[in-house]
Formats: sequence, C-alpha cells, structure tokens
Amino acid sequence: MDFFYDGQIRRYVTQFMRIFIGFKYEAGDGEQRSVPVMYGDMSRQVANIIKENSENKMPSVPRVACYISSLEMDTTRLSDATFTSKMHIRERKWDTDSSEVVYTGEQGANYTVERLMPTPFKLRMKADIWSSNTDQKLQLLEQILVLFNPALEIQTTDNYIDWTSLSSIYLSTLNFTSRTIPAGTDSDIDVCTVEFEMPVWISPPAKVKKLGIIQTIIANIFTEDGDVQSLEEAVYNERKGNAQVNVNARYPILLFKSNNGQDYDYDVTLVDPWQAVVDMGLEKEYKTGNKKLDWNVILEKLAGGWTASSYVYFKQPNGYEMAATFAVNPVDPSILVVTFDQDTIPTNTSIDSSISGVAARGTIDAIIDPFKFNPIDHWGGASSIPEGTRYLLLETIGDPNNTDGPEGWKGSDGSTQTSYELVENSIVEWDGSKWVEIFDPDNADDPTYIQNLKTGIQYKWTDGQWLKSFEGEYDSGMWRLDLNP
Amino acid sequence: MQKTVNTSTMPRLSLYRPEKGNDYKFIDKTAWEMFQVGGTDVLVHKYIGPDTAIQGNTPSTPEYTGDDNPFNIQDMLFLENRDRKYDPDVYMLRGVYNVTDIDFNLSQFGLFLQNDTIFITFHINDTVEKLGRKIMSGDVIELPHLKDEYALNDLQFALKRFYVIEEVNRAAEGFSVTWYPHLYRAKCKPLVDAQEYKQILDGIADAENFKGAYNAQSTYFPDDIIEFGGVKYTVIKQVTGVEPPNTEYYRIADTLREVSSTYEKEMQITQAILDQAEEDAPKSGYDTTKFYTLQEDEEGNTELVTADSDDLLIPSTDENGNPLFDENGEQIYMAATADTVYRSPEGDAYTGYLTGDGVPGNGAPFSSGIAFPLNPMEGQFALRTDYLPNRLFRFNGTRWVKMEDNVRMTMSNLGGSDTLDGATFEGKDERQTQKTSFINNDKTNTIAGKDIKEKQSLSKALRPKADE
Repeated sequence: MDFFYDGQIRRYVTQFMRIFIGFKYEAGDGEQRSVPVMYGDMSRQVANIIKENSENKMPSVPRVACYISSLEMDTTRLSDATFTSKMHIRERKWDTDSSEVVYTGEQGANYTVERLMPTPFKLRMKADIWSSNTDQKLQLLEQILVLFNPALEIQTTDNYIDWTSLSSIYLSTLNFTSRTIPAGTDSDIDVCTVEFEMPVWISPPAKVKKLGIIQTIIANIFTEDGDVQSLEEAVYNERKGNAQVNVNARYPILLFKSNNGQDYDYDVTLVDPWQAVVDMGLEKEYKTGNKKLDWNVILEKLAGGWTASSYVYFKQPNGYEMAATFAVNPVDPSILVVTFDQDTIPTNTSIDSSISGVAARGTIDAIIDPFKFNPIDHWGGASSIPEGTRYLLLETIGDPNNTDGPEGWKGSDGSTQTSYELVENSIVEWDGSKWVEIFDPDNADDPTYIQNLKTGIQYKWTDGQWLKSFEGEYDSGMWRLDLNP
Repeated sequence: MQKTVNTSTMPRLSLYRPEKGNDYKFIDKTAWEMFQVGGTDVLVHKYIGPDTAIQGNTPSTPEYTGDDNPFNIQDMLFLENRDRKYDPDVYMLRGVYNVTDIDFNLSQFGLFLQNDTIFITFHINDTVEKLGRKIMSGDVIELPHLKDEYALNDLQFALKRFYVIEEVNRAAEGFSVTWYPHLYRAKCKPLVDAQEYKQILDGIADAENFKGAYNAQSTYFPDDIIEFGGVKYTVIKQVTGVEPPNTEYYRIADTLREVSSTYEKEMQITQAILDQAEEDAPKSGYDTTKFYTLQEDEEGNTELVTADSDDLLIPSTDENGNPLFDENGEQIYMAATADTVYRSPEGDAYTGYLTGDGVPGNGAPFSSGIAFPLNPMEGQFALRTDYLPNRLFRFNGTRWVKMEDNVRMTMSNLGGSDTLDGATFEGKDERQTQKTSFINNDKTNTIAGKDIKEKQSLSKALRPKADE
C-alpha cells in the first residue's frame, strides 16, 4: 500500500481544543485572565522545556487539558463502502506570476473529484479543567456548558470538496471533581473532567481528475420508489431553455431509444401521465384503460387523431429542431414510437482511422470501462481483435511511467508501448498491433457527434463531456406535435 | 541516733515546671542559636487576610474593609480564600529541613510534581517575634538557597524557589526535657501560579534591585527598578533626571509571574493551536470563492457582455467599504468596459450548507454600503451592510435581486474583549452567533433616562437599583 496521511484525527483534535480557547476567569481584583488550553498527554521532554528545565518554574492553574479517550468504529452509520461520489468543479483562473495565489475573474482548470465512502467513527475526547478553587471551576464551567445545547458544530476544514469536515460535539459525561469528599485533600488542584463524543469520518484520498464524463448512460430511469428521475441535469447539464412554447404539448416527455432493433426508432412516454389526464379531462378513459394513458386518446383529444404524415418535433438546446414521424405502439399504447427523419438527426462527425486505406467513420463499436473490459480476453487473443475496432473509454488506463502496462491493453507482441496511456473520454482504435488514440478529448471539436453501434445511441462531445445527443427529458415547450401538416 | 530528713520542705526534682523557667529559656536560647548557626534563610510572605471576592459584599462573601485579619474567611459557602492579601514586606526567618531527592513523578501535564513536599522547622519564639504571629497555612516562603541560576531562560534571572505552607504543627524533635516545645514544623508544597497567590506573583521579579519611587536627582544604573506613576520600570541605560516612560532608558519591569510561571509559554501554545484551527477552518461552512460559475444564456451558451462604454465609474469596494485597487494600484470600478467579456453569474453553482459569504461569484467587483448604488448596470453587485447577516444583491436590469447572505462566521469562541488591541487574541474575529449575541454583548441602552447595560445575568436583571 502506498503511503498517505492527511492528519484527519489531528484536525479533529485541533478543532476540539479550539472550542475551549478564549475562556477567562476573574479574580477578586477584577482582572480577567485567559485560561491556557493544551494537549493533556505531553511528552516528558516538552514538559521539561516548558518548565525551562528548572524545578523552580511554577505551573499555572487554571488550565484545560484535552486528550483522546477512545476511538471506535460507529457501525450504526456504516453504509455502502464502495459508493463513490463525484463532484464537478470549475476553478477560477489564478495568476501564476504572482508569488501568492491571486484568482482572476476568468475560468481556470476544471476538475472532477471522486470521493470514496469514508469510514464512520466515534471519537471520544476528554477535557480536564484544572482549577485551584471551587468558584474558579464554576466560573469556567458556566461559560463552557452553555455551548452544548444539545451539541456544538465543528468543522475540520472549509474545503467545499471535503464532505467529512462537519461534525458535532456532544457532551456526554461530567465528572465534577477529582477529590474525594470529605476533602482531606492533599492537593490544591482540583480536576473536573468533561467527556465529549464526536461522530467523525476517516476518509481515503480523493481522485482529482480532469472534468469530463459521460453523465447519462441511463440503465433505469426510475428511482427505487417508482418515480421518474429528474433528468434535466443529466441530459441538459442544467441548461433549461425557455424557448417559444408550443401550446399543444404542455407536458414533459421522455425520449429514449426503442428496443425494437430499428436504428432511428425511439419511444416517447409522458413523465407524469396524471398531469395530462387531469388537464385534458380524461379521468374516465384513464380509469378504464388499465391506468395507462393511451396516446391515441391524447392525440384524439388534441387534434382529432393523427396520420402517417403527422410529425413530432424535438427542440435542441441550440434551437435546432429534430423531426420524426410517429405511431402509437400497438402493444402498449402509452408509448409513442417515433422514427426520426435521418436528415434531422445530427450527422456523426467523421473520425479518421489510424490505418491507412480505411475510411473515416463517425461510429464506435462500444463504450467500455477499460478496468472491467479486457479486449484480448474478449476477442480470444490480441491477434484476433478486428482491425479498426473502436472503443470509447470511460476511464484512463495505463501510465507512461509503467513499463509493464495493463495486460489487457498490451500490443499484439505482448509489449507495453512507450508513453502508453489511454485517457478517459478518448476513442481508441486497434490498428492491427496496438491501440491508437484517434479522438483526443483535449483537442476535440465541440460538438463532436458519434454513434455507438452497440446500442444505436448517438452521443455528442461538448463542454468537456460526452452527453447523449438528444435523448432524455423534454420539458413542456421543448417538443411539439404537428398532426396535420 | 537516727537522722531524719524532712522531704516536704525540699523542692521536687522535676524538669517540668508549670511556668517556663530558666531551664526553658536556656534551652530555647540554645535552640535559637543552633538555628542561627545551622539554619538557612527563609523569606516569608505573610498572609494577612482575604481580599474582596468578585461577588462583592454579599452575606456569603463578606467584605472586610479595613480589617485585615487572617482570621477572616472570604467565602462562607465554599469555605475558601481565593483572593489573598500578603504583606508587602518580606520577613526573614531561619529554618531547617532535610534535603531529600525529589522523585519527578510528573502528573498529567508533566508539570505537577507529586512528591516535592518538604517539612521545615522554625524556632517558635523567633517566628512569633518577627512575624507577630505564628506561621500559618497560606504563608508563602521562599528559599534563597534554592535559586536556579541555570534555567533555560535568557539567564537574566535566577528562578526563585517558592513554597506555600499547608500545615503547621509542633515538631516532635522540638520538645526539650522541660516538655515545652521550641520548634514548629511546617508542611510546605511548591507554589503554583494560581489566583490565591496573585498578589505575590504580580510583584516585580527582581525585588532586590528596587530603588523606590523615582527621584529626579538620583542617578540610576541598568537593572535598577524604580516606581513612577504606580508602574515599576527597569532601567536599561544609565540615566539621571529623565522621567519614565522613555523607551531609551526604561522598560516595564518583569513581574514574578512573567519570569517564574509557565503561563506565558502555555498561552503561546494555546495561541498556536488557535492559529492552526483558524488556518484549517477559518470560518464555518465552505469557501467557494475560488470556484468559477459559468453564466449561461437561455440557449445554454456562455453569456457574454458587449460593452463599449466605461462611463459608469462607480468605485468597487470590499465588504468593509474600502476602495479596491488592482495590482497596478489603479482603482477598480463597477463599470462594464470594453474589456468586460463574461456576464456576471446569476447564481452560485456551488451550493450547500453555509456557503454564502457575501462575495459575488467569480471574484466580480462589488460595492458595499447601507444603500444601493445609483444608476446600476445589469450584472452589478452590491453588498448591503445594513442587513445582518450582510446580504448580497445583483441588479438584473430592472431590480436588485437577493443573491446570498454572508452566513460564514468565525468559529473561535472569542469575544470583543479578547480581540481588542493589546488583548490576548488581538486582531482575530469575535464569534457571532445567536448564542454569542447574548454573551459578546457590550451594548448599553438608555431606558427611562438611565443607561442600562443590555447584558445582564438572569438572576439580577430588573432588580431595583439605587439611584445614582
């Protein structure tokens, strides 16, 4: 295991001690004196340095000493240990000429940060309050105890990325005195021990990557509860247009590839059928129709039916409309099967082949995760991989510094090539003996359209990420029906 | 003839006498002489009675004004004397004790010695004669022969050795054949820098060099200490006729606490911990100022500004209202100039718990004040400091729209008195939360013609007070 250390518990201890700093006691002459706060378990050598190496140096009191009393795993807060959260961050550009970091008003580097589920722990800490008399102890306790009602929030860092930085401190027990009553004390000094509990997280390092991901390879558009997921963010990257509203189609719809094997066929369903039912007064039909809203009924209601030449239009974020003819699915009338006019589908961008004599094409053979897909195994040997096979990679694989790269991605002679690295979001092609990058995401045209031959779905490269070209949710106003052209 | 002896007329043979006779006096003088010859000097800070408690004059903490008496008790409830008065004069006695090796059994902090208890014997009559009473618990003693000249300080001061007397009894070895005691045995523990001994520790460290009140005719030499205006100064350069304070000749004299207590070092450590904590998390919530928010138009494209005028020269200010300057020293204005390219963001892409900081996204310039600037342009920001927390607005072309509140606050538990100039945590921010608005509160309200402090204890608020 490679080394890593971020001082996470150290930061919790620091912030815990911070809450006790700033309290004072007042002597009879009115002078207020701040109380020192120190770590309780100091080394003997440092203790002697503080004493200036002299037995004549007087220790001061009152003071607060903090130390860890226990650290144990909090199994009640355990959750999916493999969960990875991704954040997309655009940084402001900063002036590298200056000796200190000065951020400008322009956009700088963009990142995707991957964070693995941290491990939950309970950190118990004690604060010993040393005092030389009872009234002094009460002065300090009264100031400190009002803070915990019921808990006090602390933060170990103000980094937006750090999802473990926030914690709360709960006061659990208070041992009022170290003396036994009746006193018969042998010491002037009395110790009040207050114990606190903090739910904390210990996290492995994050992955900081260049921004650029395919956000919407959607396996299931429904949540666990059966609700439709909000796809606005996924498909349109938070761009919500409000172009001219087409009054005859006021309901959000979903557009997804049909599974009927036809290249240009897509299914259209209503996001919220009940909204359409109520708006159009179709409650009766709805109830008798096995609780599925029939597109035939909708089209009848809207324009008295439809013909083979009726069109449905889907407005794209750039204002361009895609056109399709449609038919109601005879098996499931809640689905409208649309067939796109090929001319209105964005043309795939031709990507030149690395093999001489092979024509350029705007398609790929599959989207794969190079960590899970081994092309040599898949094809039964490197020599069996068809020349010209193209894959879009979801992750970066290989390392220029690693002379013996990943087995599955070696050349046909079994060797790792110099500077062998296949980067995330690139398209690679097998030239007969090795993988060659034919689409470099750093220097790509925006947008670049490609079609995945495995699924027939078209993707586009824009703003540093692969998005589905036109599939997803269309809000009201972003699609329209033209039933009688 | 038998001779008879009349025993009834002879004095009884007994070394004990009901009164202290010449035997006693002879032995006592001999013991005193032995202490003078074989004892060591013990400097005594005589406890003279309790001072005023912070509670003031209450039934359980009576004030003994003008009645310094060690018989008094300061706190009748907790039965403790927290604020003790000591005689400014130091009494010199002779004492004898067995020097033993100290086992450094360091306790939790590594600072409190557990076994350093010594038992010193004093001559009773000598003690009473010099102190005016017998030694008692609470008296502080200094043993000059235990001065440490080689501590890890700057070697300017030899650290003195102080003990406080815990118990006083008659010493068993101090009983003579007359059955009368001659010696007291005092159980002494090392002194700690505590509230009880404040008066001693507030005194000057180098009392031997104290030359009294400043005299314009006298010549003072380096390390002399003089008093002027109630303040004690150490002379750093030979001087005659120059009044303190004058940094060329004087500095404030070190107190005994500054020299002998670990307090200063401990506060440096505390300060370092606070600095580290503030560096890790300066304020609550999250810092998103270094992130970029892309402003998009309705089509989803990056929204640009086309401007060809720079006539809106409204000065840009920081959150405190101070004008902002660029790296060339030129003042920054709110105006859209020919250089302005991107539209300022309408919102913050980085949302979450406590991310509002009152600063516009992408480092856009803004003005601050208690009113909106006149003739604003679209995309201009203004921070209203009359809102608490301060509120940032953006002008959308027709009206000012709320963007965010500055909700990020410091998390150090400091009050206004801690952060003043010269205070322990000078320059840091005081904590501002709902709770601390009740604690860090020095407001005064004029109610019915009287100035009344807003912050009052629940138990004392609205109690009748004497007319002033």
